[in-house]
Amino acid sequence: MLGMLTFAVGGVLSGVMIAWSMDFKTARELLQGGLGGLAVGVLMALLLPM
Amino acid sequence: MILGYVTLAIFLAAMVLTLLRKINLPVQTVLVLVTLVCLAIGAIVKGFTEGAAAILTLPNEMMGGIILHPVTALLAGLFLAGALNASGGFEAFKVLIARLQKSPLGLAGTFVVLINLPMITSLPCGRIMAAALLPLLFAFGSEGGMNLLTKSQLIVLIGAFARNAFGSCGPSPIGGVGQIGEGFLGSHFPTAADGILRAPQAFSLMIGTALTALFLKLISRRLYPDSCSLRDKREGEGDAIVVPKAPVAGYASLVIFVAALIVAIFQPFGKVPVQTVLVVAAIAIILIGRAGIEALMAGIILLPVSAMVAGFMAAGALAATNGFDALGQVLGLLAKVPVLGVAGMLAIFVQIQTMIPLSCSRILTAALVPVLFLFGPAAYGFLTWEQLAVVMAAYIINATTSCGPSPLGGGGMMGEGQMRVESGYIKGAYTFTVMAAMTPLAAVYMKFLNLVNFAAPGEALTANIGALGGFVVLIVAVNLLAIRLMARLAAPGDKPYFTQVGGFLVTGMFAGMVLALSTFGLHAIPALQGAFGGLLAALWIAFMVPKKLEPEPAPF
Repeated sequence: MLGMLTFAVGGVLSGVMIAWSMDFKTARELLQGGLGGLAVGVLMALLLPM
Repeated sequence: MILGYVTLAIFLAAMVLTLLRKINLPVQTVLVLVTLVCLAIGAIVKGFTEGAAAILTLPNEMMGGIILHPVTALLAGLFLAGALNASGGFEAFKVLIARLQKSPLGLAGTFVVLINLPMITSLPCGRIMAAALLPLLFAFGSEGGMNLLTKSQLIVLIGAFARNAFGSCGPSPIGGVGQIGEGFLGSHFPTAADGILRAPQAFSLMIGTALTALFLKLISRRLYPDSCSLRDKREGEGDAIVVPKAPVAGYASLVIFVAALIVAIFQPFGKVPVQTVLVVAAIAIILIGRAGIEALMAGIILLPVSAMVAGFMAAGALAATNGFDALGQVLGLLAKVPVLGVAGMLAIFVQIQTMIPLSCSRILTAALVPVLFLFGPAAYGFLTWEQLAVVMAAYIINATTSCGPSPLGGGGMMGEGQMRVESGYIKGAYTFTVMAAMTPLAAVYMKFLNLVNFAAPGEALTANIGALGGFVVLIVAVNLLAIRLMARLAAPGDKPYFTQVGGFLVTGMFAGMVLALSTFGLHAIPALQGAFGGLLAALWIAFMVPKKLEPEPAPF
């Protein structure tokens, strides 16, 4: 569970940074980036041995 | 032992000269030649000192260094990926991505998923996903037809995707680079082969990809303003969204592929060799997709396979001629230098593959992971098993991402081709983020969270989520600050370049210190030694970043 939490938070952080780097700068777009990162983090955590 | 120093010197000189383009041969050819030369010298020396019998055993000792498991797993993984490609599985991937844009994720969230897709699929070589999806990413730009993204957005999208792809072979459970290290850690951690190195690599790759995107946006574009020939978005024209199509067999093969990954990773049917799972899945995909033999063979990329075998051969030749003993002694001597110590020596060692980036990370990983193993309780005793796992995590993520910035046909060059930039454009972004962020992130993740899941019998380890969170925030904050400061001064010319070098040095010191703290705990001397080792590694890495870009062949 701790692993999934870590990946979820890391994913959100990563997603927001990527979205900002790609010039998506409105609150809605950054939220979408964070949501994408959350999906990546959770999915990745499910695929890893934890 | 003199023989060992001679063969080690030949190996290192050949690698550095190949990197400097003083030897213009494929790196695999160079490694095979190095193997033959080392064996010949070994045969002469051993013939005189130990007699003819010692000569006859040399080839055996060399071949003994070739570990077949990662080679066959990689071949099976490439076979499966080839079958997936041939049956339209990648087309089905593209359709799913197009549909994601209409979901709550929107365009921004979809790009975040797309950039991280190589890590999620974790194929045995990043080139597979890169070859399949880079043309799709290019299509988002003006020249590609969709006209959705500006030039800057496209550079960040392709650069970040390539960064993710050329680190995704590390955590792959199907012949990934990390499995080489996991094999050695299995000597102490009984479940290491389940993937003890996967989570630290994936976590640091996920964060590192985002920092790479930032670096590309804020620094690389300012450092090389005239090196990209991409056209910008055409204003005033309607965005053309092309919805790709995929055959039904493509969806079916995608389902089989995902099922095979799940079986390979979680092993719900008990211990089945990963190669068996992959080959069975590939055959099922071939039957359903009616893939032709030519399309299948096109999916098998020989570079990583030949790279790994050549690396194992060179490693075997070094082992047979005492080259690793010599390397161990040299590093042991480095560890005795007061300003370096063991912590400083390790801070340099974990960065060695970013310092010498070859076309496939497996070449040096196969040769150097055995050396790292010797630092543990099995030989020199510099590290406990837990400390060895922490250093191994840092080493492997650094190694596995090293094909990205390699000028010797490295994976990153595929991305540079799609970005329409000169070779070397991505080097600063790729080497900086690996050195300053991904390497220490993998170490702290292993230390404070992952080791708990793989503890040896009788060991009681506890996770420290607070320490992990604190270190992650600190590492990301230092990287953001450094990127921000370097970006303020980034421009073509000598002065901005040396400012950038300064940024590399400071963050390199920080990375070395974090590695020392996570390996040896809160002790001042190892932390300072680690910082000094990190500084020396960063000095080398910083000056490898091109000051300006020139058409091939480009000196670094």
